[in-house]
Amino acid sequence: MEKVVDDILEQMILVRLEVRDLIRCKSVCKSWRNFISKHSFIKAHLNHSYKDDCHNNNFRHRRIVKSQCGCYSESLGHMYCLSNKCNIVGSSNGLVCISDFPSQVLIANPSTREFKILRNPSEVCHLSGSEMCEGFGYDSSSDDYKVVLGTTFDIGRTRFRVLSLKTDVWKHVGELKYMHIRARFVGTLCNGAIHWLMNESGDKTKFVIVSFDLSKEQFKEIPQPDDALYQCTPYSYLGIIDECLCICCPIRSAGSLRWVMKKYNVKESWTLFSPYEDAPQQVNDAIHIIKPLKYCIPHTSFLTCASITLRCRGVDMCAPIFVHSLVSPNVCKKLKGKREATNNNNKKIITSLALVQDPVARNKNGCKGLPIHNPLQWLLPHAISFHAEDMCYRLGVSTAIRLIGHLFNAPPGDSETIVGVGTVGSSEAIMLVGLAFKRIWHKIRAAVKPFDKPNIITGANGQVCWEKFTRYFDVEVKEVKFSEGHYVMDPENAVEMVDENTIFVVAILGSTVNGELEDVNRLNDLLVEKNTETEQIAKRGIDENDLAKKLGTKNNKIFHVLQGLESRRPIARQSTITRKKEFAVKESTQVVHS
Amino acid sequence: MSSSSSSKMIELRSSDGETFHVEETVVLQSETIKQMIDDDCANAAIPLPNVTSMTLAKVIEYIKKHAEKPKDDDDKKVAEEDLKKFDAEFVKVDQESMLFDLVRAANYLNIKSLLDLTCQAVADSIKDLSVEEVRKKFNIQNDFTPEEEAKVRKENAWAFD
Repeated sequence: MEKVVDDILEQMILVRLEVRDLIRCKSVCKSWRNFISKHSFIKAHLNHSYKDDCHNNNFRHRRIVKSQCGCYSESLGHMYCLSNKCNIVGSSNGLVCISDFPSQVLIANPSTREFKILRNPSEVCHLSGSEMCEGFGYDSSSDDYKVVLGTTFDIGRTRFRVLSLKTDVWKHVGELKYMHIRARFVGTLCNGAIHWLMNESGDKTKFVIVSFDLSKEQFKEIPQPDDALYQCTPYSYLGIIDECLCICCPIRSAGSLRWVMKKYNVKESWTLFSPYEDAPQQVNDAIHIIKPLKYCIPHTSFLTCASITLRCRGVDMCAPIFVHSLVSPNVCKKLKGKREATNNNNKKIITSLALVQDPVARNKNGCKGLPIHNPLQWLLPHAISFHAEDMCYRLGVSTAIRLIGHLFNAPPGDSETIVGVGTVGSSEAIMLVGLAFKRIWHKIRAAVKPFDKPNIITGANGQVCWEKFTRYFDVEVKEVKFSEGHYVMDPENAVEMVDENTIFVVAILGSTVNGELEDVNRLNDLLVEKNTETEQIAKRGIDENDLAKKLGTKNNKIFHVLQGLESRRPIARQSTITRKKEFAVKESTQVVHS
Repeated sequence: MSSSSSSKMIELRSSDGETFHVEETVVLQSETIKQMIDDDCANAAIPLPNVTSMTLAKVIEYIKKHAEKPKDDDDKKVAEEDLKKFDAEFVKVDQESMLFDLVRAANYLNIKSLLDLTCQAVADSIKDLSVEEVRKKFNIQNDFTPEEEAKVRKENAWAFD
């Protein structure tokens, strides 16, 4: 039988459904389930849900507040309830961040009842007793959600840390000479940035509106209204009205005055909200109340959200805006599962991929409030030295190692894992890689012969760093000389120089002298050939009265190292290099393990 | 509203051969037909092989209503209210299949406002239906094995309460 409407129309209809109906519709058929779970559908649904009645600019429309009624700690355990200490830190795209800093932060989607407990900030923050300001929002540039936490660590200084949902790591983003005016101060999300009203340190009468851009991770000061009536006090607070930032200043005699910044970050656009507009029109209000469910089991259902329409006091423009969505707080669920699985198999060191980040550099950058892009570099013994700073920054070091490793076919079998570490610069990486080779060579050679004179082979164009390595670690360097018109290492000559004490051969992709690529494929083929040859001799040797031992050729494995181009070079070239590298590494891995 | 005599009439032919005469200004709400007129393909009757005469009559009723222009601002508010009422009544069709016919016709003729209206009406009609009812409504075959379906349901048991 034919379907009533085709897929596209089905999707147009589904996008208009509410979250609860959609979740039920997942069990209609497979194509519906797959479709509803898709990222693109979730986005489309969010968009629709957002646009639906966004023109209702009533103060109380779409606000989310905490339920005042008690929490059911017996059935939930103390961790999962909304105690009085709990704050709604913010809400974005249907996700709500709830915290009782410093002990617990979690992100929940009350519509789907999913939630995720974040890494405990106190592990890194040493927060005891210090006052905090908080914030939560969506970063469209990385399609990620971020929690911001500012703690006063010294008189008049506030240090900020950010956790992104994808990485689940707290990192330092900067320090300000301002203090928040109240403890547990929740920031206002507006225009992709979180805003706090803060005190200048040392002068409690001076106020600033500080913004933190979630994409750029930069702080900025937002101009305040230029109005004779405007007077900021410790009781003033920020809020949001009709997607515009606003500030509310209570006045002793006459309630409060509100200014709205109609155009973001434009001083002149601050306008006084006339009092009669303040008159409550609660008829169309949708106030969402977040509350724990009574008999719920953690991990299946824990928070729900009731929409109510009523005359509600205490809900004001400072409450975060909330829309129902399918967005899951578990953004990196799949990735994480895989990572854990790999870690379990981690037994055998087959390659040491060197990669480490420098916490000092990170902090230095962080203090300035600049985005942090550490100069991280990659190194893979018998593989590459590689600039991957951005990648490490976005994915985290371990994921980056895994990714690069797989890209270059580093693990030869399913049961083996790539092992790596980050380094500050390529020199350190080269030292580590060289050392790793030396150790492997020691292991192989120890049974057979003395191992006091290892050597490496590199072209005369070799990076000076390899020379450093040989000096520091007592290794001899054998240079392949150039010939007229040929200014990179010749594979034939290089392999000819290989002897029983050679621990690896360095090939350079993008010679320091002229940028030329060395013929890695050929080098690899020759090395594989040579290895097989010596192995055969060795085997025959064992058969015929230990000749091999005398020759010292048994287990004479030769590795080679590629030194990659830095990522600053043109991309087009990079890609061909990458392909070559990939091939070379695949082969050379066989060399190691044959 | 009285139709001005100068307006050009466009002839539309439904799948079952019935012809309808509609003013050009009205029929321009359909992007599909507008394209045809722009391409100068609308001199003879425009065949609409995907739309039955019953559906087409409904669609024409809709676009005629939406083509009415209020005279002044006072009139505008009244007209808006009136239009809302009309829309609400419009999607209250006797037969369920008619609503789907309208969705398909709106999609084919590319009339955005009608598509929005009818899709929303279908969505509203699904609200709080059971999974079996939804399947029946959309004529969808259940391709889950009983185990799979039980699993999907269990994951979000609360939504079925």
